[in-house]
Amino acid sequence: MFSSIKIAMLLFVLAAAGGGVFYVKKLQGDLEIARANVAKMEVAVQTSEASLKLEREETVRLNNLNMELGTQLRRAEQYGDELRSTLQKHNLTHLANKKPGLIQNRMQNATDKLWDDLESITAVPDGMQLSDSGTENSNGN
Amino acid sequence: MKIYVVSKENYEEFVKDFEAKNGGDAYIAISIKDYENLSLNFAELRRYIEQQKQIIVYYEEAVKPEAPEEQ
Repeated sequence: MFSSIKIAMLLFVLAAAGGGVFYVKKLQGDLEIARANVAKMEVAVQTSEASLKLEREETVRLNNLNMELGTQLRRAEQYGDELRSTLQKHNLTHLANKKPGLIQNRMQNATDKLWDDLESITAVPDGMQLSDSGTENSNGN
Repeated sequence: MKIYVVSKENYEEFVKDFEAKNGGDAYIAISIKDYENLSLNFAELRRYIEQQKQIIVYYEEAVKPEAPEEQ
């Protein structure tokens, strides 16, 4: 009677120990999975932070480019504004009647400068190739 | 392109000089008002070309790939 109680207790202790070992093994497995997930999350966070940093840098760069473009677009209007102002300020018909030689020189100089400027701003920049250079157009006549 | 500004004051002289240089008295005349319009139109053309150039530069810069970082 007494020995069967001992055996029962021994079996209970063994079962409890086995359950404990199984439980610890399961905990260790869960911990490994959790560690792997944390590592993946850290990589994901680093990637997101790098993307955000890049996006912020791009925003700053594009803002600067936008401001530069605005400045250049306004500068392009300067010539026309000055010309309009000059034409409003002077009565060219009256001046041409009174001093044709003087006006002729000014018109000639302004026109020559305009042709030079147009030639300059439509010139192909150094180092840039024309789109059809080096290729043959098979559709040509 | 040679421009002549002609009024009553220098008309005779212009005809004489022009015939001597060009061998004829046919020419294209434009009024002062039309010259002003022409010059304003050319100013618009110039503005348009310059602005288009700047827009192209903007897009070229915007899509330019980032320079690789030096080690």
